[in-house]
Parts: sequence; structure tokens; C-alpha cells
Amino acid sequence: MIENWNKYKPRLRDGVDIYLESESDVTFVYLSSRKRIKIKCHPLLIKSLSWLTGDFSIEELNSRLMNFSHEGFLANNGFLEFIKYLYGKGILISEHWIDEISLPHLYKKRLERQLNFLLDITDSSDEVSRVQSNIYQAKIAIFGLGSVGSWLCRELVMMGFRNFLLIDYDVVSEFDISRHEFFEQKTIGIKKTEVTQQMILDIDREACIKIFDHALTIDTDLENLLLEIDFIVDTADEPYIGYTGLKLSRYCVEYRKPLMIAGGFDAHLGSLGELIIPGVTPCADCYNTFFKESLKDWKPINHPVIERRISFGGLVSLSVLTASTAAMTIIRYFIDPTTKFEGERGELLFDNYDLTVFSVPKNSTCYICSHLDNEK
Amino acid sequence: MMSNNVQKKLEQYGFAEITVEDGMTKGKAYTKQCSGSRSDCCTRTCSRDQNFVGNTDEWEEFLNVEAGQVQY
Amino acid sequence: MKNKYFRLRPSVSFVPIDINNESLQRFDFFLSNTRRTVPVVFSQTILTDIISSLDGSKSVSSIIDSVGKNHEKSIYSFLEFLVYKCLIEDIETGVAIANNPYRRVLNFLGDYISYNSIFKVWNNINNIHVVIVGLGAVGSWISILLVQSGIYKLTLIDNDVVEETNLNRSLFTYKDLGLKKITAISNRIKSIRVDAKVNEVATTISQLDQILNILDSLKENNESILLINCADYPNVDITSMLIHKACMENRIPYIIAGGYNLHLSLIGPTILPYETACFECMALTLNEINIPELKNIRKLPRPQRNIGNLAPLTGISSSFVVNEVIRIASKEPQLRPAMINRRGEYNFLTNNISFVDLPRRFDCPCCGNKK
Repeated sequence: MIENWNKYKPRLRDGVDIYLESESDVTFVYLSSRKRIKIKCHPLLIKSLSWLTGDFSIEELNSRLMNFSHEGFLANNGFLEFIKYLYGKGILISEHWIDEISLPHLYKKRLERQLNFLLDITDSSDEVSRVQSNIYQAKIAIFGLGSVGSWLCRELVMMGFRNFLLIDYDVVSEFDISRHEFFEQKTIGIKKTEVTQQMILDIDREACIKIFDHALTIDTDLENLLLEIDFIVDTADEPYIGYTGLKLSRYCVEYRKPLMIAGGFDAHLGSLGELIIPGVTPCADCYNTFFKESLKDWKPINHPVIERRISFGGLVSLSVLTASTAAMTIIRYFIDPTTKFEGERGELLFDNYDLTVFSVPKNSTCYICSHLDNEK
Repeated sequence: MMSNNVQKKLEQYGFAEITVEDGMTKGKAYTKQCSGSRSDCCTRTCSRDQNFVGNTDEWEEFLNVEAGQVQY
Repeated sequence: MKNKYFRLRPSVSFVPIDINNESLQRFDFFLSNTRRTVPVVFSQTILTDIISSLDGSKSVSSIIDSVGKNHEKSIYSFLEFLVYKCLIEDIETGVAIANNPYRRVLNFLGDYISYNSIFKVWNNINNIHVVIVGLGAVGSWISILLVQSGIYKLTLIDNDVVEETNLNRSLFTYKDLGLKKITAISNRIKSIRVDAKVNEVATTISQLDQILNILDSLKENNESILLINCADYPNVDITSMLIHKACMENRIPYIIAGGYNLHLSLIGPTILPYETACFECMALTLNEINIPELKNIRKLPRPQRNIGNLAPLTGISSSFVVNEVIRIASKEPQLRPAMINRRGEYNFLTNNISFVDLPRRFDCPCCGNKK
């Protein structure tokens, strides 16, 4: 809110493009939403647009304009009205807009570039404040701190998430050199949860981290474990992502919590994963139903080599791609939980970087989640 | 419908690769066709040690799904 | 070949498609790391039996002995085919790969490179020297991901110091604040790989000579060199032009490490001097396609603009660059770079990648018709 308009130094928002179609026609295009506002105004006001860099106050700008001409509207506070209009539309922002967000100062400093990004893609600084505050408070559980989980966790910290429940039973091995975000020679043999905890604290000293260093099994009591949790990430591929995904999805549907099942696991390196919002998107059982259709006739022979686990291939760059797309999906959810998220699966092929994304429909007779449709 | 090329190789060597050019197969790489119709390949080629953290049978019973049906 | 002990590569599946007719059976080999198929027909079940039991315990000569010498020719040509198509490996290679800390990378490469060349190619990848100009967000990710992919010789060029506001998208931590970015990254690299060779060059490239001198001193070592331009705003245009000239003059492959634009992550082009489109070819094409739809619309220039950024967008751009480096470093035709003559955009709102073709131009002032 501007207290003293005369002292305000108007600044054009970075996320708005300005097109000058004539001397008196200007179109403002919001880069993120592509929303357009077309106005007709006096050429002098159009001229003033290039001065709105946050360096000059209204008082100074008004004088400058008066030096150009003594148009009647200027004497009637026309310029101020113009500025107020643009401010009301979010085209101009307060130069101290970040200070006005009530979050810790150091936290905002670290996240300055992200706050700018959020301003570019939302409608107002109030929105940015709401989004980042939600991120600040959110409690996230990450199952599996492997190739994808470790990088995703890193990106979540970098985006300002700070309340974590980390679930993994394993220790760092020398073979993780080509995979995990937190790999260092000196961490070999140390529990992944511990190493991840340290990584988080090295970026956010105030982060709140809880650890559950056991495997996710059929007996894991999710109700207790995830009592306080707002958002769940599944990057646990033992014994198989399909199973862990189903167990977690069924919990999430019951307790109406969002779940990100990431892709990028063995034999499906280029898959991009999906966000499950109970009642809105298909749940894991819907996905399962969809995929089981034409698979009957495709069954490999029993592989002659018995111990195959250590012989699968992967690139850290592909894990980072999967983790990053998952992180983007998660922040999109926090920016607007009511965004129309579709059931979908993305797959990247390494040969030519072809990425196909196709829809997966909700199963209207799904015995796990279809009852949520009836609640609406 | 076998091409001459393929026919010759079969006679000579007992096997022949078939290619898109022969018209005997649709394509070389799995992608959307894959998850749509082949994501089974993940479960079936899965590297995971069956005996680890409960074998797959246990999970399948727990999840109440038929054997081999869980796909990703 | 007689003394080789082959096995079906553990990540390759053998899938019966149609086996009703014994004299014409149809199978697929499925390379699961890269999701590619090799479809095959067989007129002899001998061959499919061999595959089913190919576990590395029998030598080729013993397989031939047990099956009968009359099948020798068939079996040899079949095994050669399987080697060529990256479907089998000999047990010795399999064990060597399994013992290598980078075995995941080796097994991935094995989908493209036959077992008998894999360590030669790995050696190529290990020994490339990568020059990274600009250790901002994208540069920091690329450096670390390269070392995790097997590259260990780097020259890092940047004069900046790590600041708090870098932490939202660069791979630095609070412990690095105040350090030069090149030092912080160098430290991180050495914690991953003690024997990494990292040259730290604390400079901002503003003159052609600077970059030429650096490249000249590297050339003295007879190393293969590759350069990645991660120069950040506001230096991006000047530095890009200088790097372009230096690389073209020295015929050094280089990658323009993308960048970003709101919800779009740019996936940068790879340039092989005098083989593919160069920076100037691309500028010509981009100018042509970026003409405003209506001539009388002028966009207000905004020199102070500071578009924000996010960690995941940096991750995405850098992941494609690293893929390209591995391809170039391998020197294998099977793994030629995929970002030549084009540039990509990843749209996070739609999870889509689209590509813009940027072909080599005969009217290019730089590389025109030259070879």
C-alpha cells in the first residue's frame, strides 16, 4: 500500500510487456497469463512510461512532465491518477514490495529471485506473499532419497520449503557418485537421511527436519507417520515404484493429501511422473487400471542373468530432469492449488529428446477414489 | 509379408532383424505407445531384488491386485 | 570370439512376440535403459535357445560344441549381430563395468556402444577438457553434473563472488558465501572426485585475446576441448560473440547453455564449427522469425529488467547441456549431439518441449560456405 503517493517511486513490473501501437495507444501484456490491457491515453503519459524505473518519485516525474507541456490534465493531477490506475492493475509495483512480505528477512533475501519470478507469474505482490508463506509453512514427506529424490529435495529447499520428513533406510555407496545430489567421498557409508539433513541445513539453517530411516514396507503405518504432513513425494522405487505409489496414493486419497509420484527409475528413466490430487486427478489406482489394458501379450523371458540390479544404466542428467519437472509441478500446485491439473504422463526419449505427454483419464468407477467425485 | 531381404537372411543365418523400412514393424523406440501399452515393461524388466523389503507377491497381496498387473 | 563368455546384457529383455510357428518366430529385444527395440525373426529355435541361457558361463566354442559344428556359421553371425546391436556383452566387460564407480553411466552407454568399445569410449569421455565460461546458476549445475558423469578436467572462468541471492538456483551453500564462485565449485568438485583437475580463471571475458589465450594454453596439452557458454546477463551478448569467434577460429565444439525466459527454459544449441549452424547462422534465422507480427507495433525497451528465476528451470537447462557434452566427448557416431542446428524450449506449464530449427546458412558472414 502506498502511503505517500508523492514520494512513491513508480516501478514497472518486470513481468509486463508494453507495446506502443501509436502515439496514444498502448497495450500492456502480462507475460505469464498473457492477459492484455489496452488503453488510450495522452502521448505525454506514454512518454512517461520509460521513466518508471523506480528511480524517480511522482513529484519529480510530475515536474518533468510539466516542463514538457502545460496540458490541462497534468494540472488536475492527471499523471497521479494514471499512476494510481496502473498500480491498481499491478502494472506498477512498490519498490519495497518484498519488504512488505511478512517472512524472515534472511529467508526473503535468499529467495529474492524466486519472489521476482512469482511476481512475474502471479497477479500481485499479495499473491506472492500468500504463495511463499504457504511454501514456508508446508510440511513435506519425501520417500526415497535416491537419484531423483535427492535432487528433488535439493530443489525444494532452494525454493524455500523447510519442513521435511525424510524417509530412507540406505547408506551412501561409492557407486552413488554418478547419481546422488549429496554425494561426496567423505559421505560414503553414512545414512542418506543424515547426509540429506546436512545438505538442507547448509542452505537453510532454520529448517525443520525429521527422519525416518527405515524402508517403506507393506506394514509401514502411514497414518501415524504422516499425521502432520501436508504434501507427499514418492521417489521410493523398492521393490517397485508402482507398489509404493499405490500404497501412498491410497493413504493420500483417504486423507485428502496431494502426492507427487516422480518418474525416472530403472527401465523408465525418461518418465516425468505425476501429481495426484485426490478427487481432482486420477489416483494411482486409476493410472494402474489405465495401463494394464494392452499388456497381456508382452512378457519377457526369465532373464538368464540372475543378479541384475547393479547392471542397469542411468545418467545423473536424466535424474535431474525428472526431479526438476517434479519440482516445477509441485511449485505450480503451491502457486495455485486449484489449477486444472490433468492426469498425464510425460516420457522423454534420449535419442532426439522427443518428449511426449499424453492424458490419463480418471477412472469414474475407481473403487479407491471415485467416491470423492460424489462429494462435490 | 516378408521382404526379400529378410527372407534371404533367414535362409542364410537363421535370423534377421526386421526394420521400419521392411514394413514389418512399427517403430524402434517406445514412448507414448510405451506407457500406454507397454509400461508393463518396467515391472517385467524391473531390476529390483525380489527378496528385498518384502517380495512382490507380498506387496501384490497387500495391495489386492492381480499378479503382474501393477504398472507404472 | 571363440573364447568369449557372452551374456545377455542384464538391462536387455528378450520378449517373445509371436512364437506359434516354430520355423518363423518373432521376438523383440528391449533395451530398457533407453526404451528401444530390436525386432527379430528367427527360423531356427537353436538361436533363441542360446539367448535364453546366455548367462556368461559358457564360452562361444563350448556353445558351438554343444549345438553342433554345422551351426557354427549361424552362431557366429548371430553373436556378431548381437554385439553390434549392443544386446550382449562378455562377462569380463560386465564385471569390469560392475566394479567401476560410474557403472550406471557405463551401462547406459552400453545401449549405444558395443561392449568391446565401451572402455575406449569411456576413456574419450573421461579425457575431454571442458571449459565453462560463467559459473552462475547454469554453470554451477553443469560443472557438478559433468563430474558426476565421468568428466574430471575442467577450466572454470568467472570473476564473481558467491552471494546470498545466488542460493535459490545455484549449487552453492551458505558455507560458500564470500568465496569466488570458481573456488566454491572447485571445492565441491574435489569433494566428489579427489583427482579432479580444475583450473580456476578469475576473469570476466571482455576481450577476444583473453579467451584465445586460455584456449591456446589448453591446446598445448593436446587435449580434446569443448566449451560451454554459461555467460549470464548482462554480459551474454558480448561474451557470446567473443566465445563464438574464439571457438570457430580454433574449431572447438561449443554449447550455448540455454537460459530462461519466465516459464520457458531454453535448451541451448550445440555448435560444431564448420559442420553445423554456428552462432551467426542462428542469429540470422532468429532475427527472421522474431519479426513482430505488425510492423507498427513497438515494444518498450526495458534495459533494467531483471526476470526472476527458479532452481528447477536451471536444472532442466543444465541437464540437456550435460547430455550433449557426453555425446560430443564420446566421439561416437551413435551418440552424435542432438542439439545441433536447433534450439529448444521447455514449457513447464504444459510439460512440453518444442524445437526451433536453426539450419546452417550459406549467407552466414562467419561460416558461409567454408569447411
